[in-house]
Amino acid sequence: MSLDKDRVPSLKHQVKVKVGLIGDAQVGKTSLMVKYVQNVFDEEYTQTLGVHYLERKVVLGSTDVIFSIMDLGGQREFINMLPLVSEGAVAIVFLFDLTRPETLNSVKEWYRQARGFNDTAISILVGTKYDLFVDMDPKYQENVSRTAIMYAQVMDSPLIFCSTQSSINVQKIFKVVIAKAFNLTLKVPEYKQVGEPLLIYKSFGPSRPSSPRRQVHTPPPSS
Amino acid sequence: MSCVSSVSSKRSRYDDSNIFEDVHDVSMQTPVKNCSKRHQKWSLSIATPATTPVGKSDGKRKTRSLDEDLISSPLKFKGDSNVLDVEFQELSLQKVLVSLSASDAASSPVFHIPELLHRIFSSLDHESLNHCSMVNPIWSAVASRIINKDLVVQQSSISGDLKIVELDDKVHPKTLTFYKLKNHKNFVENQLPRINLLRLDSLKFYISPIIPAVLNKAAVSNNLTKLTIAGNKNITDQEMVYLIMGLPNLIELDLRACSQISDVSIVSIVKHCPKLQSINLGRHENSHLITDLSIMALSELENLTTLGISGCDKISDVSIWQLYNKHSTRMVRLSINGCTQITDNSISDIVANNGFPNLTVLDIRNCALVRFKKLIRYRDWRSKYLTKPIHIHISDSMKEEFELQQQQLYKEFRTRIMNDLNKWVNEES
Repeated sequence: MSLDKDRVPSLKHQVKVKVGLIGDAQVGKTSLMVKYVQNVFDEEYTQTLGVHYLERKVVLGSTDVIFSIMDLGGQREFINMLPLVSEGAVAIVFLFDLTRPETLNSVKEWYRQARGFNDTAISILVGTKYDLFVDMDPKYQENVSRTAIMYAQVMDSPLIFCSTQSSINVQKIFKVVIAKAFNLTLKVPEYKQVGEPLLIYKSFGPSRPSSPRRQVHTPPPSS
Repeated sequence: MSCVSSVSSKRSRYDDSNIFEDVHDVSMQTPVKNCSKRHQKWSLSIATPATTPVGKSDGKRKTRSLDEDLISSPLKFKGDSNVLDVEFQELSLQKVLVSLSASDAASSPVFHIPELLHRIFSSLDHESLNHCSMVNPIWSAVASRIINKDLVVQQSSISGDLKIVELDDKVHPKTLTFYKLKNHKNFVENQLPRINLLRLDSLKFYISPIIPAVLNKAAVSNNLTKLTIAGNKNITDQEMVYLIMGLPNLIELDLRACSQISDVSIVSIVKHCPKLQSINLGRHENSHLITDLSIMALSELENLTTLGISGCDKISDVSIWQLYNKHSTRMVRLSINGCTQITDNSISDIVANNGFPNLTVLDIRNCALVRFKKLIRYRDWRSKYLTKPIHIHISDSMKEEFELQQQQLYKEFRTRIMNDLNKWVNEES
C-alpha cells in the first residue's frame, strides 16, 4: 500500500513587498516600474494620472517574492494620493533625473512628505537616465554625483544610478530593497567612482546587526 | 440515572461535540436558555390583554415596547419563503380576521401574521410553544405545525408526566425524539395512536429504551433515514440486528455509548443498510467489542463519509489504511479520539499526503500521535490553497507538543525563505 505521489501537496511561501516610487514628473518612475515588471521600455512619455500599480512575482526555490509596485504621478495635484503609495510600503524609492539637478532638489520635499506617512520604510535614492548623464560634461557629472551622495548620506539611503533604457542597475534596485528589508548580506560590488553608474549601499540604510524591519510572513498559528 | 452520567462523562473524556453532538445540543439545550428569556418578555404582554382586563393605555404602552423588542431582537429566519407561502395559504386572511375580532384585538398586529409567527415560534423551545398554542386559534395553528413537525417526548423527573402537546387529530411528525424517557407506557397508550409515523424521517432515542411499537410503525414508512440510539446500555446485538433489518434506507446511524453493540451488529448493519453514510460507534465501555473487523465491514459501504470510533482502542492502523484504500476521496469526518492503537504510520502519513482530500474534521484527542509537523503543514496548505480547510482537534495533553512542533516548523520555513532570498539577491542577473 502506498500513497499516490502526484497528490502530495507542496507549500509555497509568499513574501509580499510593497514598494512606492516617488519623485518629480518625467523622471521615469513609470518607465522604471514597467521595465522591471514587463521588461519593456517605451520612448513615449505618458503622464501618470494618480497612481499606477503593477505586481512582479519572482519565483525562487520554495518562496515567491511578490513586489507590489506603486508609482505616484509626479504632478503636485496628486500629492493627496501620497498616503496610498507610502503607507505600508516596505521601501520607498525616491527618483530624480540625473540630467535635471532641480529634480534632486525636490527629493527633499518628497522625502519629508512621505516620511510623514511612513517613517519605518527603507528609503532608496535613485538617479535615472544614466545613459544620457554619462555623455554630459564631466564636471557636471561630478557635481551631481557629489550632491547625490550628500543627499543619500542625510537620508541614510542607498544610492543607485540607473538607466531604464540601457538596463543598468534596474534589477539591483529591487535586490537592494530585499537585502535591506531582510537584513541580508549583499555581495554585489559597489560602484563609487564618478562616471560609473553609482551603486552605494553598504554604508547607507539599515544594516547588520540591527533587527530586520520586516518579519517574514508565516502562516498564522491557528488554535 | 446511571445512563445520564455515563453520557456526560463520555462527553468530557472524548468530547465529540464538534462532530456528532452539534445537532443534538442545539436542539435540546441552547435554545431553551435563549428562548425562555424571550418568551418571558412576550408572554408578559401577550397575557395582559387576554386574561386581565387592564386600562387601554397601559396595554398599548406594553405592546409598543414589545414591538421594539421584536425589531431589535435578532430573529433566525429559517426555511424557504416559498414553502412558507404555500404552507400558510390556508391560514391567510380568514383566520386573521377571525382572531382580530376576538378579545385580544388590542395586541400588536404583528402577532396575527402567520408567516411572522412561524419564524418567531421556530426559535422557541417546546414548553414555550405549548404555552403559545393556548393563546388563540391562530397561534395554536402555527405552534402545532412546528410542534408536530419535530415531536419531542420528554419525561420530567419529578412528576413523571409526559411533556407533549395536546394532539388534536393525527399528527404527521418528520422527526420524533425521545429524551430521557423511563416509562413509556403512558406514551404508547395515549399518544402513540394519534401519531402517524408515515412521514417520519428521523427517530432519536436519547438515553431512552427502544419502544418497539414506535419502531414497528416507523419501519413501515420506509422513509426513516436517521436513527439515533444514544446511551442505551441494554440494547444487545440480537436486538440491534433485528431492528436494523427493517430499515434499508438508513443514512445516519448513531450508536454512541451503546456499549453492548459489537462487531456482530456492525457486519449486519453493513449488509442491511447499504445507503449508510454516517455511523458513530463512540464509547468508553467495552471498547474491545469493536475491532478492525467492524471497519473492514464498514469500508464496504459505498457512501460512507462520516465515521466515529472514539474510544475504540482496539482499532489499529490497518483500519485507517483500509479506509484510505476504499474511501480516500469520500471521507469527510473522522473521529478517532482515544484510539491509542492508531499511530502516525497510518493517520498522520495518509492525511498529510492528501490521502483524504475532502476530510474537513479530524478528531485525534488522546491519540498516540507524536509527529505533528506534517499535519500542520498539510492543514496550512489546505487553508491556503483550497476552499475547504481541515480542522484538527487535539486534546490539551497534546497541545504543548503540537505547538512546539508548530514553532519548529515555522522556524524552518523562515530559514528556508531567508536562504532563498539571500541566494537571489547575490546571484548575477
